[in-house]
Amino acid sequence: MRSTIIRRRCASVVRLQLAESTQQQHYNSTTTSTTTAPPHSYLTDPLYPSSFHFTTLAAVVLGPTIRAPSTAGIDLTSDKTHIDTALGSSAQTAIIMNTDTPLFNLPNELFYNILSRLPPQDLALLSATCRVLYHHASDDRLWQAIVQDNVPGIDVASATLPLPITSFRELFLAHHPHWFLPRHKVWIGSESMAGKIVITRYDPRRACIEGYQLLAVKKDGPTGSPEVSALAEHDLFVSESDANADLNNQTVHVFSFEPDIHIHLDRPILNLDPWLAAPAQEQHDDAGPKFTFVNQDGPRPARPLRRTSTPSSRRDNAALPSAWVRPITMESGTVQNMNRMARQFLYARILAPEDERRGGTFHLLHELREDLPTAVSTELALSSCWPAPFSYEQLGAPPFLILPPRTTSASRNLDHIHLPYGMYRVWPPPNVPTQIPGSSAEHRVRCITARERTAYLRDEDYPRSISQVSDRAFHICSWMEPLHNWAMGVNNLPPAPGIGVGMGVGGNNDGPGASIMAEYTRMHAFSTIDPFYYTPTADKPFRGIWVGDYGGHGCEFLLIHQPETPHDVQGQDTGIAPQLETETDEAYATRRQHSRIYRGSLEAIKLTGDPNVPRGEYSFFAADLSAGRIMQKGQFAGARIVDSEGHVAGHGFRNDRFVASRLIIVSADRLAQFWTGSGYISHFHRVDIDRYTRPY
Amino acid sequence: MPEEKAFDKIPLQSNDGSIITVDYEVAIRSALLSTMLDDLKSMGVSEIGPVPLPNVNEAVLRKVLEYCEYHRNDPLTNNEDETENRKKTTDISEWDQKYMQVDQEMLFEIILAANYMDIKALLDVGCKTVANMIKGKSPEEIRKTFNITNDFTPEEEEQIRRENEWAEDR
Repeated sequence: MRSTIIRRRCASVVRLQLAESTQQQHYNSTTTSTTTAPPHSYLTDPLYPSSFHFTTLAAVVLGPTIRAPSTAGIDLTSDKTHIDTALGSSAQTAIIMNTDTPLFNLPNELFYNILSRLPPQDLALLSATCRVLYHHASDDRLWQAIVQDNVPGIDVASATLPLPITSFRELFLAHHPHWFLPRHKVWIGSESMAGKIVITRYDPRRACIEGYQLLAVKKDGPTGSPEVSALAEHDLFVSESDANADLNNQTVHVFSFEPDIHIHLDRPILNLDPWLAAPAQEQHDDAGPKFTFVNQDGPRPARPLRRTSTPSSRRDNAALPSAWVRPITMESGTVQNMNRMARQFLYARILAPEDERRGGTFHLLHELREDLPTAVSTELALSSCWPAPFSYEQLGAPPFLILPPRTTSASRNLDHIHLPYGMYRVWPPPNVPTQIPGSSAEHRVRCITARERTAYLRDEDYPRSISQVSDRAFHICSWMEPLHNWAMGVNNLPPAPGIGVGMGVGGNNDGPGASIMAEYTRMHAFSTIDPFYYTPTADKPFRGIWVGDYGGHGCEFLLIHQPETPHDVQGQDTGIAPQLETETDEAYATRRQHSRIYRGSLEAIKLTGDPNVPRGEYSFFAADLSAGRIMQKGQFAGARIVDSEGHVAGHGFRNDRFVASRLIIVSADRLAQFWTGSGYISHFHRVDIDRYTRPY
Repeated sequence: MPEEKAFDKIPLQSNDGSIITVDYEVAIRSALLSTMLDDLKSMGVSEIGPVPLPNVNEAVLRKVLEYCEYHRNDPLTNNEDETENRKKTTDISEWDQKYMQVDQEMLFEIILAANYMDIKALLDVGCKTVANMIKGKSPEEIRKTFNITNDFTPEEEEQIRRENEWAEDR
């Protein structure tokens, strides 16, 4: 079998080289890298023997027939014994193969050049066309580069591949299609009002993709001791009229803030090793070498979330045709009270514009009020609805309720924030920007709200094909299962989907794995933030992921969002007065720079939250950075201060409102917010997330 | 790159004997020629005869020089930029796309000539064009595009199809 392949393979090369022999010699003399592909890639190639490359092969084949002259410039130094033995007398039989294919005139290095521009799917399909292209598309340098593109900041070549993975192609397939996890690095989770921020990374030593919660704690305890001083000692008002306000007798509490930020290694949120993570492909016993790992290679089998055996199950796996939409069960060592926390990773489906129409209720609040029962609309108007003060049943199902921007303050202008989906049934929340720069398309997925009486998404909320798989969001389903079941290797499954947790039905009642604790089953959505929104630029230096001091609530993470303004789009210096005669060049340059930096709005959006103001909500908001001035005295003398609005709410986000406050811009890495009502000044520090994406 | 021109006009000779004379700015789009001309200058050569390009015939050389002429004022790209732009196979300028509308034989001749003459930008456009011809196509469509004969045995084809099942679902 193998010798036949080689014979036919060689024959087509003979033809190529004969046709090209005159031209090829020049290329060989000028392009020394023609045959430098690492032998590594050929070793794993099932169709070809090791240590084979075109030029050598051609030389060997040419040898007996036309006595390949040494003047042909063909490299004869490599070993030819492998191929010699494989060659038979019928080398001519396949000479007719691919005679009119100018593509095959290209030397190896140019194939590599072309193929390195292809995404993995195209490489795979290309390899199914013919032997020559199979060979080129199997070049493991291509697959190494593809893996490398997905693991920013980590050198994939820094560790040898852990056995039994022998090539980057295998490695790629083992984690396909969830390479987006390490690629996007940072994720925000929907869990409760507090939410989570998760860092994902690839560990080349074990070929694992991991996700850990990012935590911040204050070094001096939850509250610390503020420095108390009289308001008059500070310079906290932007305008004269403010200064004369009755706040003047207040004291100011300045809290120190030294956050200790680390990733929580003890309880991984995600751990996908290549054995568990590989999509379960069908096993074929007669097949040759395998490129993918099937899950029985792993220590424990991956199990489908959806049960097919239960007669009462309303849905079965037929609804999920593709391997890519099957959940992946992750290892979890967390054990509490003889129960084990089990977790599954699920792909999320991107909500499409038609999902808006599916639900029915898509009006802004003022329109919505007309349609609602009076009691509901009144309550809706009074509170800002988190958790929603009404049941979704009252609104008709399934409601994708859109809440309007809150306009409790006249200066606040959020008209540019478009809310296409229901506020609390999508992830990330509407305030978190999801558009990829250059596109207006939103990228959000369904999530389960705290008020929904279920822990499961509906079938239509899962992707049906890889094109529907979101590469910017995923779900984690977690549940408790009794430790004794787990220890005995019983295949526990979470309760069947669609069975509401709160409805008292939960539980798996077929066989030994019965007593799943349905009430502990949770489904959380995670989504990433595009680096555009957290990468500072010369003109938007405050963009980033920050950590802030929220007193008794501890530290919370924020996205400092600086939306593009029309000036940014039109050109850098629009709206700046020309250089004055009395102004030095240096002063003019500074003025220009400041006018570019201090313009537009600065929005602090909570990535993690607390029981008062939850994740996804604004924490504070400065509508116009240009309307500020430099502070003259006090601790922050020299810093710029602008009007801002701070978001406050009662427990459960009741009666949330924006109150007048001040934003103190200390530097591009330090902000402080003066909450005028309470007299507190709290600090905010930039977080360099890249510090946490490297496993060592 | 030297400040002053090494030569004003460079005569280039194709492998079928034609001589095409081009401006220095056009010739140095080719790193091969640029290096050679610098070397000649440093050796004190002031006059040069036709530069032989034994791998390129007249038709291809004219086509390649058309590209160099159009792009004579572009900044010369360096290697770092190239790796950065690797994956963006679709961003080919309108003029370059039109330029690349040639039959496949010529397309691959241009690529080979760009490789030989070391014209990075042209090689890049050529390879992008070929990559775009592959992108989004099924194996059968790729075979049709490039006139490739399927030389797998049925068993091999079945095995390869299974290996690549994951890529078919788009």
